[in-house]
Amino acid sequence: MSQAALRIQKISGHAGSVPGEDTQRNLTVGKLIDTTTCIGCKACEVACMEWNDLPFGETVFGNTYQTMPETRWNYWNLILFNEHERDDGTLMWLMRKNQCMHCAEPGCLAACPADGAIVQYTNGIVDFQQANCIGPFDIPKMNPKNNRVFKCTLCTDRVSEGLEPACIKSCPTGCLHFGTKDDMLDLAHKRAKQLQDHSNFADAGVYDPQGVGGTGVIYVLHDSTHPELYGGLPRNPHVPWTVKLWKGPLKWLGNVAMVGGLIGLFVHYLRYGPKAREEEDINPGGSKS
Amino acid sequence: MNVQLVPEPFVEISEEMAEERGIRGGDTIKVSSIRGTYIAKAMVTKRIKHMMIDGKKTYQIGIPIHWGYRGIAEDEGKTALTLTNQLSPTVVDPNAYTPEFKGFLVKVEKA
Repeated sequence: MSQAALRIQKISGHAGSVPGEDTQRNLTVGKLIDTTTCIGCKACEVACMEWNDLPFGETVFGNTYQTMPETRWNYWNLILFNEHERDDGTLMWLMRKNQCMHCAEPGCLAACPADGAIVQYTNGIVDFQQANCIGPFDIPKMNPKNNRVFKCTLCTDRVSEGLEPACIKSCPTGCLHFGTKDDMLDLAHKRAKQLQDHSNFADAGVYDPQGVGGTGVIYVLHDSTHPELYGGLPRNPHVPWTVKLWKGPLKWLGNVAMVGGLIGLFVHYLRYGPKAREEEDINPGGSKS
Repeated sequence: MNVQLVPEPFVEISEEMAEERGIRGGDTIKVSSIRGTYIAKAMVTKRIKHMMIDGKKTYQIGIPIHWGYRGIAEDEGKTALTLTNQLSPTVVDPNAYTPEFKGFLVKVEKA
């Protein structure tokens, strides 16, 4: 995979600063998914499988057009279907393309203890280095056979050569767009406004959650006040404060406690000397009290 | 790969009809017409609503066309190996011989 156009911004579990930090001007990329024009054809699922050579996995009939309940280690891109009845009685068949959101503040990166397993590039793509991975979390899905984690890479191998991701290329309705994050936001807001003005979706809007600092993948939704209708899209995703505490202040506290403990041990030895032996203890052959 | 996307043939039926006949999503049902039978799993959906024809409640069901006889899942014996095309009438337009395939009456029951 060519690394020429990608510069690393953050590394998981890494001590010290990131090599080459802040040396070049950043340009973030974004993927726009317009759920209002998605027809659920699954061309993007096929494209992702083909491009990444994902091995076959068994599926069963689940009373829905949805291929499987959630993404797997060998299935990074999944269309979620939801039949939703609106208040005025009309039925909507909502379809959302589900894959890694490439958050600006990736929770998975913050929580991962393995040095270099999850890497966020300066253009916003969150990628995996399988060789450094030691375990699983959530959208990153683990292959139980070799304990390695896999997820959507936003086709870093294609993007670094100037091509768009495989799913974008395969979409027949043109509901998937790729470009810089700013351009995508622009397009998204224009489309949302178009929906608000010319159709009866007054709540149409853009999903770009600021709780994780914005995401590399943004959605245009018919109803942005109810993101959970689109296959359980979380309303306000954020890195849990427990993880922030664990990887932030608690780390320093732990270090202080450990070093302090060692210093305390040493000082105690200097002040009080070794443990004093008592007479009864050096009684050979006698019974222990 | 197509088998991964849609693993088995299915029949789309409306929620009301499913309730009337005691069918739940994933149950194997039998669809029969004068010409043949088709056995597949039921997909219960909100997208189909009933119609009132001559004052009687009439339902429409959806079956993907041309399915059922050969394929990866079929060859492994995972499906009932019945043909959708056996249900439809062999009626053609007398001039152009265009088949009239898609509108016909069937009976739906639990298999």
